[in-house]
Amino acid sequence: MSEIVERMKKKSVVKPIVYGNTAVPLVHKRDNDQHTHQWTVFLKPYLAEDPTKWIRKVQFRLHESYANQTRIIETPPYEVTETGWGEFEIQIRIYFVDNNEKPISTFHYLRLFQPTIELPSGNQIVCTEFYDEIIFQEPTVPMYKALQAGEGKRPDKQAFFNDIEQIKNRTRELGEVAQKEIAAEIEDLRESLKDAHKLILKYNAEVNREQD
Amino acid sequence: MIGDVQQILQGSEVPKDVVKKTPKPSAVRKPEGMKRELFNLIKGKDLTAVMPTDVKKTYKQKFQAIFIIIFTGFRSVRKYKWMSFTNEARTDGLMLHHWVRADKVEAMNPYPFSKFNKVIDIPTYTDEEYENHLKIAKWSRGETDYLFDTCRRFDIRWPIVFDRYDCKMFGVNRSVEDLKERFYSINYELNLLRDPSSSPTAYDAEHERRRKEQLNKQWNRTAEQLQEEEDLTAELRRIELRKKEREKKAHDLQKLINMTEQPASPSTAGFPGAATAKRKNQFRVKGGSISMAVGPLFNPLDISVTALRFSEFKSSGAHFRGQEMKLPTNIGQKKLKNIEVILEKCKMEMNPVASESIMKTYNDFRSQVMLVQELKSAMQTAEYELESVRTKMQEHGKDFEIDPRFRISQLPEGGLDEDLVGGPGQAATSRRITSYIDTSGTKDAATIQSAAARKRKATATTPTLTSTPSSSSLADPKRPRKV
Repeated sequence: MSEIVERMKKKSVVKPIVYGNTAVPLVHKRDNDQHTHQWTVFLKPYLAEDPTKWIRKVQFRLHESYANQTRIIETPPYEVTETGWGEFEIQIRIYFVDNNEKPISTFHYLRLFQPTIELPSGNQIVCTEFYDEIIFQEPTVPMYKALQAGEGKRPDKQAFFNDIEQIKNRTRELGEVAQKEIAAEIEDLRESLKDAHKLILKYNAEVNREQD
Repeated sequence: MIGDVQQILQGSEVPKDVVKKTPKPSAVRKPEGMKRELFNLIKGKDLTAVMPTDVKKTYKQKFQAIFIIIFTGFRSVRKYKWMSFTNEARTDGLMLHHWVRADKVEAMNPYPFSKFNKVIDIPTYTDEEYENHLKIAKWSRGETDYLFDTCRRFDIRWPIVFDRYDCKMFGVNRSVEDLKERFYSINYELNLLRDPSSSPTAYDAEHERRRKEQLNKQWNRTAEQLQEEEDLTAELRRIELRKKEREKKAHDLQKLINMTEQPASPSTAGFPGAATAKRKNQFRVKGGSISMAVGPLFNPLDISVTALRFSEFKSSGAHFRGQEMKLPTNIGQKKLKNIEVILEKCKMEMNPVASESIMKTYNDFRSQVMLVQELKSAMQTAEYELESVRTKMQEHGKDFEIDPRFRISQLPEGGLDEDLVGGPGQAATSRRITSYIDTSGTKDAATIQSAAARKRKATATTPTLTSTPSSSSLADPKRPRKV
């Protein structure tokens, strides 16, 4: 079975995705298992598109105390809803339509208590949405075709609680401001160092002259 | 005993052969006065070593013993005689009497205690000897005679001799050292006269005087003086320790320099060639120690390394953008801490959302943080060097001002105030980010620069300068690949 996998040379495709979880407290703490929250962990394409074109299945690996620790979701929405009392790290593994493209995984830390956001209805829920991008470097030919078939061009804003564009912009701006600041300081330090260097040479020479 | 136990446990008749086998408990009787517990422990064992040989007798027992001696004639009473005796140690022939045991009369003659009257033979001198050999200006004949008499009287017991010696008699105040000096020197002269091969009597009066003076001074020290002495000793110990440390570090640095001079050696293979060549010239070694005056430690143009290598995804396949932002795992705690602090102070997230531009900005920024760390520690080195060259200038009666912008050690956390920025000699920026960088305590022996800086820092006595830069950076010549 050693077939040669043909790849698209010098091509790379980027697929933005969002993963995270929502959580709401249970009305009553359940006596039998002490569970306090109901939560949903999810993975969605960021753009408005049909993810089944390129995602075969998504696997969520929960804490070992859950029955059926590994949950496999083959059709959207890719999400698992459970109840629990504690936060833990969930491994999310994405399998692609072409088996020759290796699955990739990331981790999401399940949040039960914060950050909270307010729904239009006035209710508060805990919600985290983390934006990331999957980069397919030189994808296999079938995979490339599948990725191109995804028609998504613009963000699926309805799908998310947070304004992800705004988060991206703010994050970028903060980074750029900080970069400017640090670049100026680097320049300042460099100049000071250069001058200090010159001074040291100069005064050392003077001292040496004195000694001679 | 076993029989007893059996009887208790079983309640049946004790078989006779068992009784026979058991040793009689009364074979050894408990000695009077011994604790029962002790006796139980040692009973049945070989007791010869532990049996008390001297048991205190009660009054009644003692009385009985005497009674037996007196009335049964157990021992006859010894005979004593009233005898007269003379003590040979005496010169006056005084006759005294005492009781002597009849069988020891012989042993008492001569009087046995007379031997304890030791007489020291004090040499005497003739008039001629005195005139020819012993005469000195400080002592008159009369006083010398008086001294010898006194010595003879008190058997050269110097404290007594000194106590009894009447200085008023000759109007000269004599210390015990004076007396000794005179006495022993005459002794020596006489010995020499009579036997030229005799060994000299060593008495160094001057030394003795100094010794006593020293003891007196030591005894009369005040509490403050004692404290001061202790402090000074501690300080000395500290200085010596530092000196040792410095020497050790100089040695280490020497090693590192030697390493860079052999570029082929595997430990330096990771350094970029140009940097290595440059660095070679940065140190000059004179007489085995690092000479601060000759070669400048750092080259300001040389610090341009990017410290962080983020994961690169060159091979084909899929990955998350977020993974490109993961910090290398081999980065030290100190650097990690610095990055964390700076990100927090700039209100940036540790794990931001991962778009391409954010990824680039953040990765570059964190590399810049590492660069600032480098620059800051280089700056500290520079400041220290300026200080040291200034001290040297001052020794030659010259001086110069060190601009505030070189005073990195005085940078307050949070950066400089606005009015301290931008002026002549002042820093061009507030150095806010720089101020949060902690350059202390990091260690990275792989870098000459850091080692050198550490070395310099170690020589600095100012605590603000005892910090260390670090840079695994030099091991990585490549900048992170931009995706």
